Amino acid sequence: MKQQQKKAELIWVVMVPLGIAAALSAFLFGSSGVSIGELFALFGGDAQPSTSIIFFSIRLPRAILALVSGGALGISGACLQGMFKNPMADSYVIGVSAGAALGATVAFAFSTTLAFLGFGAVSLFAFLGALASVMIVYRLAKVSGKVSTFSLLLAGVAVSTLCSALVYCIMILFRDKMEHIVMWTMGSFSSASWNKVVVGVPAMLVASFLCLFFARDLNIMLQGDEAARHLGVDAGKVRRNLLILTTVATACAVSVSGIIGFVGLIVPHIMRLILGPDHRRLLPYSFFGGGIFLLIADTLARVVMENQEIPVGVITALIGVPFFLFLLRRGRSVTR
Amino acid sequence: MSNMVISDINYSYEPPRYALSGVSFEIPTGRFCGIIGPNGSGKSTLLGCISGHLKPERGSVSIGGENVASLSVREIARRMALVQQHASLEYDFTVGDIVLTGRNPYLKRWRSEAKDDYAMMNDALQTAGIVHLKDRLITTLSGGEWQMMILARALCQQADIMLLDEPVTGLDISHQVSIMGTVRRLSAQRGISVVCVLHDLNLALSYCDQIVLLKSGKVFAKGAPQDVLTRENIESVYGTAVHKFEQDGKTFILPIMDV
Repeated sequence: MKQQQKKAELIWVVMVPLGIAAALSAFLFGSSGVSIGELFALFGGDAQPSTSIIFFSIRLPRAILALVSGGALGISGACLQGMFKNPMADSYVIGVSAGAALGATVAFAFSTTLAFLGFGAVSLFAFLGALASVMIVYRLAKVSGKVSTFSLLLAGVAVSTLCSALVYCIMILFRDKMEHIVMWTMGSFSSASWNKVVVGVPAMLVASFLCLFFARDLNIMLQGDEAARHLGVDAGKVRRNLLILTTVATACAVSVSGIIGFVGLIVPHIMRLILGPDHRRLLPYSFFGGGIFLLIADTLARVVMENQEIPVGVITALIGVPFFLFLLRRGRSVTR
Repeated sequence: MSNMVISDINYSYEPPRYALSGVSFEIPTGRFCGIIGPNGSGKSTLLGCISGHLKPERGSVSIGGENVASLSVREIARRMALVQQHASLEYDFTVGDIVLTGRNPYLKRWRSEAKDDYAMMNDALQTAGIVHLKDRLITTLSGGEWQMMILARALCQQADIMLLDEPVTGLDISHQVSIMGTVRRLSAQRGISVVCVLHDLNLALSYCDQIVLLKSGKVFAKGAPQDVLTRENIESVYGTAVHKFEQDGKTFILPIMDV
């Protein structure tokens, strides 16, 4: 554990420069290039108006959203993997993504024009769909007043499958909206705005911060619910609280960006391999790791193809899948 | 004071069939009480009711006059520590990390373990005789080493009552004697009350001050080991013929093998 503590201190040496480089790339690269000189001129107040618009109205809110959404997905994945004692768990196994996709699909299909706090109908419906889906999963998983991780996973899979089936039905009925729906489910920060930052970011930050509250409980819950109870941890309560927090965090992330896979799955794995299983370190580092990863992925999504943006979910999967397979091939248990 | 009173406990998993019915007995402070009985007789259910993990439909468990049902999870954890059967845990924690979790009931949410907590961890490792395992990863432990670690975790909890659920099942005789001996010694020296679910009647005879013999969820007999573990009682409860004999001043029970 002492060795892991040293690694935790050393990891900053990598993460801080990486984070700065990721942020600079996000500001400088894109369809219109911005030079470092122009970037510094912005803070001196003597930049071109067009540069100012690109930076303050487009790239800065987008970078903030990508960073915080990635963090929210990373810390939620770490919490849920610990809670379920399952390395394949992330926020999406409990129905967040399928519920959000159903909500967004309904908004697309019926061209709803509702708006709230600057959020369009699609974001709003996605958020509500994610919340409703997890609430249904939780209710279904509650048997005799208790919610086991096993029944949560099963209920999550069942509700997700049902939501996906409904999405496909709606897509067939509204073929003209199919492309919008498919693109949304692959995730993108192209609609980033300050409204989304002002409403979404504080909610994600607060939910993520409160997750840290349960880090030691998660360590103890790995020893089993009954053992945890005898060590002063009510596993049922912790599970319910973490479900609420991770659902809020990921529902916010999904509502501002669409569905972005692999961040919540891969980032906690990488951090666990480097830092060990202690959630007191794993949770904050998964937040920062997830944020930096998604910021880099979003920049790549914008720049790899000229004049066309690739959905960020595609980039995270393209980086995430090979890395995941590499971890599996390493022969070391990824659960540890 | 950790005088424990179990009064008229009824518990059912599937009503109207009762897993426990009208179970009552008392464990004075510092006594080693064995719960024995055949498979399905309600031993682990009774331990679950005592620990507050299961809520009895009727009856109560009280410690030093306080009803366990009225205590919070953290308060219960400060008074009762649990040593379960060996279970694997596939995470790279060290033995020291796991033993230190015994301090959790005393820690505030945002507080890390202080020097005193580490001192208590070291003391628990010393008492359990596993100081040399402190930095070993738990994934590399044998079954016996694992149980000693869990025992050390329970010691680190500094509870007045220790609950043991088949603590030596599946262990070799050396580890059986080591674990039971350590618990027995602690019970005598520190006044820790012990409630231990056991299958081995000879261990129960050797280490327990009192025994509760269960049959079909009811107390069949209770009292001193020699009075409870009579040939007639054992044959009646287990439905198997046994030899009971003495050697070197100690009593032994062996099933009559029909080979």
